[in-house]
Amino acid sequence: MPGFLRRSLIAAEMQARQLLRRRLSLIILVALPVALYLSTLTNGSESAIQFGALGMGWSVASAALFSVLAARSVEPRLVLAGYRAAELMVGRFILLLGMGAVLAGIGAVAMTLVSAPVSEGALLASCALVPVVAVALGLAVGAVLPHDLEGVLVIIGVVGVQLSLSQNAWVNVLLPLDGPIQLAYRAGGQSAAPIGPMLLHAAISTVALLTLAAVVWARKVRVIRPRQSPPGAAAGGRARRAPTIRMPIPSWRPEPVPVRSDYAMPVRGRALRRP
Amino acid sequence: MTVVAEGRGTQLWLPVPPALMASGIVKSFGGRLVLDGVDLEARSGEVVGLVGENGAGKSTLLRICAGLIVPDAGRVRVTGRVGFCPQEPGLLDLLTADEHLVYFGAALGLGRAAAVSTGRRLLEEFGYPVAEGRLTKRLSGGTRQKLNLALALLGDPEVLLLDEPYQGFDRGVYVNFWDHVDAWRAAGKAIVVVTHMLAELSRVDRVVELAVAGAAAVGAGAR
Repeated sequence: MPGFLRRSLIAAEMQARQLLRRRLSLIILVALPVALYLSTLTNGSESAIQFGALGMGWSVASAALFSVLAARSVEPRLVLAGYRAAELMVGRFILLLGMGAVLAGIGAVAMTLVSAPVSEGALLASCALVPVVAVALGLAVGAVLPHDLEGVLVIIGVVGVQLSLSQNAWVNVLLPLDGPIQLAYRAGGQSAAPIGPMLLHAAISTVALLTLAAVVWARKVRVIRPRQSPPGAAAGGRARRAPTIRMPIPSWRPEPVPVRSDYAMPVRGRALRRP
Repeated sequence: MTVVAEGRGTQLWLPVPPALMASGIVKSFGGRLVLDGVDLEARSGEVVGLVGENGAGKSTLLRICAGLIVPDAGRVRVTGRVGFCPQEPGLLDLLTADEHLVYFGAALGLGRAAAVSTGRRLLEEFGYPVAEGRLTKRLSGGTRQKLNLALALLGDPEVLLLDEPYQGFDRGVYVNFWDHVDAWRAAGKAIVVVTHMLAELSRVDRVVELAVAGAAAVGAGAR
């Protein structure tokens, strides 16, 4: 297995292990879209499908956001150990996409059975695209914003604005989740618009957000590789044996330079700060 | 430190280049000058103790040497790989020690079994309760620090940057830590240890004291 893929999969596995140990978080991740969907459904609203889809997007984006923030202090060290920032990012993307796919699969089956969508294809497309765009959104917000509070507020804002807008408002096009949400409108029979622009919107949003996340994150976890001295420059090179001082010591060996020291021990060396 | 090459009737002394050489390091945070033209060197088989009062920039200098912080000016040159043990353990609370070893080991090209066996050997040397397999969040501060140190040592780095790596160690492990430092020196590693334990400075080869930027400079000592 190529090194890049292997390291990305190890990163995905370790992030999956952490996520699976957050049982309460997992329950809330499922409960949020279910609550949104059922609350609109019991009101007799025709918008239950798009609320369910948006709830899934909200959950997945939040999970992506916190996965980035939780790793912020550790990932520079992982990069120092030898990972590339891209490997960690790809690993996280794989994990979150997998988690989002499970959530979307459950949602798609439930909404197909309960809401009897007009277009099952549009519903499936919506459920397939929501986690993709939402992961990209969460990763981008997590990479760009420095703290969890700001990140959560931005995601709540994006989802809240999407919820409050009418289907045909022009502002929709600026919102990253609009593509899959328009597909949900179509699935519910509230739109007959062509699917192509919706898919294109989702694709552009995903690519733009992932690019932003990758560029910013790579900068945040970057390690400046120090200049490497030529091989063998240090004593013993790879053998790493300490250099041996052999006798006799020649008479012209320079005497140690005494410097002021606060330590009660014999001192020699040189000042390490410029005066 | 000097090496000698013996020839016919002559002796030629060759200087050994440092494994770590940071020169002219300048760093400010928010307009506050933290490091002002600082130099730091460590040669293979040498232990350098880095001391100084709080805010003198010891951790910042170490992070610059590791490549985690970009200095405003200056350069760092390293021979070999750097192992960095930060002051605050950079660990993942919901992973076990073995999972940390696999995660970090993969970065070094180690397989799972190799990473775990190598890491466990390191951990056992520090008295880490390897068999318990607990999540990191349930570990004491000292035990977390042992894992932190073992991760820095994974992959046998040539240059070790240790930022107060013994915090939370009990007395026995603390003494044992300095015995390990002796062993790493004997193995030819270049080691920089940030320490406040002045009693242990007799065990390092050179002491470098960082003064708060703008204060009087103090030099170096040797044992």
